[in-house]
Amino acid sequence: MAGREVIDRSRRPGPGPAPQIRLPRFERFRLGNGLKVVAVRHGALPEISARVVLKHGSTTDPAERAGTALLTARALTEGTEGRSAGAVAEWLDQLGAVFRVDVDHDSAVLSLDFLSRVRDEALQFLAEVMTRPSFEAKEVERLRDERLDEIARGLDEPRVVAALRWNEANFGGHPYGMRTGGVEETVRRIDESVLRGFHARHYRPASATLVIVGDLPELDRLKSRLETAFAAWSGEPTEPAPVSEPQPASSRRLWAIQWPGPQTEIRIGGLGIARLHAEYATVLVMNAVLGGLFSSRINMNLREDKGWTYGAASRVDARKQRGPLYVATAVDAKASVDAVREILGEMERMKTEPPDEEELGLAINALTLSLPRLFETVSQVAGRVAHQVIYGLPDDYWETYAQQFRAVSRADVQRAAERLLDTGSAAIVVVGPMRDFHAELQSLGEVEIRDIRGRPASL
Amino acid sequence: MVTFDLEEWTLDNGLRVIVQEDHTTPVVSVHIMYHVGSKHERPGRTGFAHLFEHLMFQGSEHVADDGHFKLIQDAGGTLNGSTWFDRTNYFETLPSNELELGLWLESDRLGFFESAITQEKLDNQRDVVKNERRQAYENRPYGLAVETILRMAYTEGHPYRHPTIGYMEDLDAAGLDDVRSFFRTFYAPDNAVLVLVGALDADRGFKLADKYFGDIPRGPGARRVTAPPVPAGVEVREQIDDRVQFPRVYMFHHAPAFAQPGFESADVLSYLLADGKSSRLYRKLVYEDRIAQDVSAQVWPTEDCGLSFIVATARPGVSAPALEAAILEVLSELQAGRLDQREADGSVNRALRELVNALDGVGGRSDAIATSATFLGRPSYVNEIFGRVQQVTAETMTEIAASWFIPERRATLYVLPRPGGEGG
Repeated sequence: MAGREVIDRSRRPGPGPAPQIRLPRFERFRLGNGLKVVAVRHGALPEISARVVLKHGSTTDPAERAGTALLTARALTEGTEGRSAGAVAEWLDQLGAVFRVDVDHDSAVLSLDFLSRVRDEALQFLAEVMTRPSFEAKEVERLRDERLDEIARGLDEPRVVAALRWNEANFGGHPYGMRTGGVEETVRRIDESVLRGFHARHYRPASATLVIVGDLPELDRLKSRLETAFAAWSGEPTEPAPVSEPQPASSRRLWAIQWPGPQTEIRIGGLGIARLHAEYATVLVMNAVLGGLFSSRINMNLREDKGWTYGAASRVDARKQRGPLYVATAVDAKASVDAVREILGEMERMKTEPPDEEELGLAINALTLSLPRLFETVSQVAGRVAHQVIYGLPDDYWETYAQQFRAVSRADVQRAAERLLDTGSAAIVVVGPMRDFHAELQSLGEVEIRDIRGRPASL
Repeated sequence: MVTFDLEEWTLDNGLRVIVQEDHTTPVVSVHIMYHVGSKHERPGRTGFAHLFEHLMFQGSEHVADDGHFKLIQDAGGTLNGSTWFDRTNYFETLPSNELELGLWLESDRLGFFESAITQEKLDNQRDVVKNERRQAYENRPYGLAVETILRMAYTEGHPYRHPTIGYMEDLDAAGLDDVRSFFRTFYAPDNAVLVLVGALDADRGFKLADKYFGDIPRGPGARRVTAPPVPAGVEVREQIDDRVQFPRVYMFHHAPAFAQPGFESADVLSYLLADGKSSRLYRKLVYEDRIAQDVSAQVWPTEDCGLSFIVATARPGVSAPALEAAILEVLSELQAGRLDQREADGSVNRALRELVNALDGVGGRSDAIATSATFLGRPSYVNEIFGRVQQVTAETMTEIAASWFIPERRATLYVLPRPGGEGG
């Protein structure tokens, strides 16, 4: 090509004018039976992503029967009043659609992704499994056994063991300390009558929202299709009891779990914030400085400086109540205790050394300039709208989002760190070849030896 | 069903540039794929292509050591790289007004890499990669199964015989000389393809590609490595133990390579076997016989000769031979032609849905275009896939099952619980 532009490589090329972000444009309506619908026309490909959002997650599980919300969702496609489990599976697979269930502490989301050429039938499928599951005893027993196998298999994975045990160490007996799919003893108590009861109480049109995104027909046609598909669904839901606020611990807990591998899994943290807390943006910015990004302090230290790990990150999971805020990594077993010390040090440093302008800018830019690519695919858009529904965020949430983050200052971040990063009361779980460094670990606090199931043990 | 308009331009130095305009969302994917992967590694240097990929994120002459990640994330973008048997790619998705940032970063590490490389960076990233190997393979249940089965399925010296992560002792052996010679041999504009997908004007994309990459000289001509097809022989069998509670069966078959005749049939056959609860293996092993916790089937998109996996994990009390027998029974039914068109159509539908899903985002689409361009020299293959998948029938899948999924093209590995019980 002739006339090549002269180029100055010494500095980063400046950005062009900021593009107009294309946020989803909602169409909201209600069906005759009370089912709320949020429809978003999006994308250029012939596909649709539908999600039924229920505000009934695992904290709604009946007492002693943790795992009910998950198994109810999984059982939807294991037989309906009109079709056997095998026939439902064949129907779904013939459509080429994919059905997923995602149950967390706060919600249950049932997704169906499909090509728009099978739209009407896919919506019929969704309505049938949501509203008329049969919960036959033998299918429920099989699902329960599958869940028990899954629980057992998690114990083969040190990262799973670390995650489960840290939640218990951090939340104790609070419902957030229980994993979303239940544990062996609670799952064993679940049978078809438990699932029927849960479905009858919570799977009701007035408590559900259908989010549908993608290559949609015009609104009237969509409405009439949905009215037909969901016409038989009725009944009033039972409001779930609110979840209590988790209480912060008063002292450090340090659990050590023997695992004879070449690496040590480490989890360190405490309570974060609730999703609707006024300081949500501040805490996300703080997390991005500490460990939310590749270039955050913890990863730059443990990976790029020390070479101890493939990656180290911090996460904040804001729920209806205060969710977890923690650092997670897997390090060369030889560096286990040093890594725990460095992580605690980085948490403390957030209080004594607030982010400089560059760190703060990076955190805020990463969280706000990323908006265009967070609304790219139909499943991304459906997921973000579902999140708005679960936490009751306003329709214009994303319009004001960037502004909220841009307002966060260095002092705000420091104050949040002071409030949330209390290493003296942190929960610390270490899963690795404990016999090699148990003695050294004791310099960081009183070590409780636990087995992979979390029971008191000895080395 | 779906067609993407592709425009192509080759710079004077041999760099192929492909643009697909898509103004739906104000983002752009910058994707550069080099035709070098683990198959190009010398004996004793396994894992080097991947270790090298890590070094590409450690700065270049005009980009600070920690600049790559920082600048992309500061612009609101996301980025990564990956290494495969046949190629290595680097990619970022950025807001559309930051296209030049991506081109500046990618061109700097192609044109101005060597002056920034140091022993200290090599040692640091070697440690990182060794921890990646520990985390993703050694300290993960069944984590060493795939590299074991590659060693079984290919003879000594075959380019696909070792895993991309490499072996620990070879990672230790890599030095700065290896870094320099690997870079000079393989990292050249005429051994790469640059794909830009998203909200940009194609002419501007070509002009900017020339601005940033045009003055980088051609390479010496990269050594070509072709993994030769493996002739049918006898089945290879092994068993290893691991710190797991449940036996698992890995059944490997040689298969058609990416885009070669039969590839789409083999791919759709993997949906028929194990995608969805009505799929053949799931229905028999998990639902009816209740002997497996899970089962999966996949065909890997390799350039030269293909490979596929069927993997099933036993339920408590079930043995590996019982699982294997059940898988073989399903395969023999298919080989005997017991497969109707309706079931075939369902698996085609699932493959199409997955394909549309994979091409929805600009990142997945640029990857598919770059792979087509690198392996076939024909980026437009990405548009042919839909038609090829739709042409798959019960007969073409039976043919694949009968000609490829046979003992003569098979390696079978059992991974068994280590004697001594849980938690070591």
